[in-house]
Amino acid sequence: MTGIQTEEKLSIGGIKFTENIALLSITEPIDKADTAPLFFRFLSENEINIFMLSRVMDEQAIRTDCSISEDDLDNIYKLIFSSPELKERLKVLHGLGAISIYPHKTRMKLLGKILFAFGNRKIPVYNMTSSISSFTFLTDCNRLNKAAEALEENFRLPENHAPFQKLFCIKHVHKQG
Amino acid sequence: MSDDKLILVVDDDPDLVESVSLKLESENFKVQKAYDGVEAWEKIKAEKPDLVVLDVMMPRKNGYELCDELKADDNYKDITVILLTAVADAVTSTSYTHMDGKTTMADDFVPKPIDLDNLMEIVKENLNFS
Repeated sequence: MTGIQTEEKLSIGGIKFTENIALLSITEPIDKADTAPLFFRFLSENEINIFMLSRVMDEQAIRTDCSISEDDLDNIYKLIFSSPELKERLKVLHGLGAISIYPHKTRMKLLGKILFAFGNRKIPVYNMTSSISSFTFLTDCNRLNKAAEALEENFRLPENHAPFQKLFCIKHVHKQG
Repeated sequence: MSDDKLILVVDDDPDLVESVSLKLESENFKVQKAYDGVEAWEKIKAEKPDLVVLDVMMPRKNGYELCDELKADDNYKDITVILLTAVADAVTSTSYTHMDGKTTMADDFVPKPIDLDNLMEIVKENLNFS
């Protein structure tokens, strides 16, 4: 048996998917870390939302990861082609999705058990974040269902919990003219 | 005074449910949470709330449908319903909201993004606290 025993199962309120996410990674030398600030100015000027952001630094380099909607990738590619430096420093990983588990109620044990469940099913986690209510993990979009199965196997969900897919999305659209 | 009032918060955004719940709890309201219209109905039947803070756009059963069903049911029509709507322009009065030509009864509405203080004022007003 790979799942957690029934008596040890923690209860969660629900699971939610967000599909079509791209992860952008900028790696730059620590003594010339000027790409990320310019890149984020571009995101801001183009009103591109960032779902997750992380920044890791060691003695040689700074790596900045951020995730955005794949719908915004055309703009990013245009920028990459206009900047040789960015082309060299920016990596794009697309075809990703996020799975959110809520509520966490600040239970760090829940985080450990989620990672255990994903690890057992060999589900990659490219990035993770927490919010006021949820833990969210970035993985391959085509593995979201597998990730949900792993959670259903290891956690107690409400009998009639909400479907995973988000059915509505509101997007701000600028009107022409 | 608010200790005996039960409020159900319904939205498919867990972060919004949590932040609204925390604010209501800080004002000593009792709070139940639901993440879609179907779950909300189950919670309402299990324990009738005094007021429902209800998102409009949700999976399975949206806020308009749930509001209609509540207001059409003699057992539940007295529950105060406050709609959370990102389409505030479509709301023409505090008694009726309109969407695609459809009229839905609600007691009040709060536009998204939500101002928690404003929401709290509207909740208290509708519960005759202010």
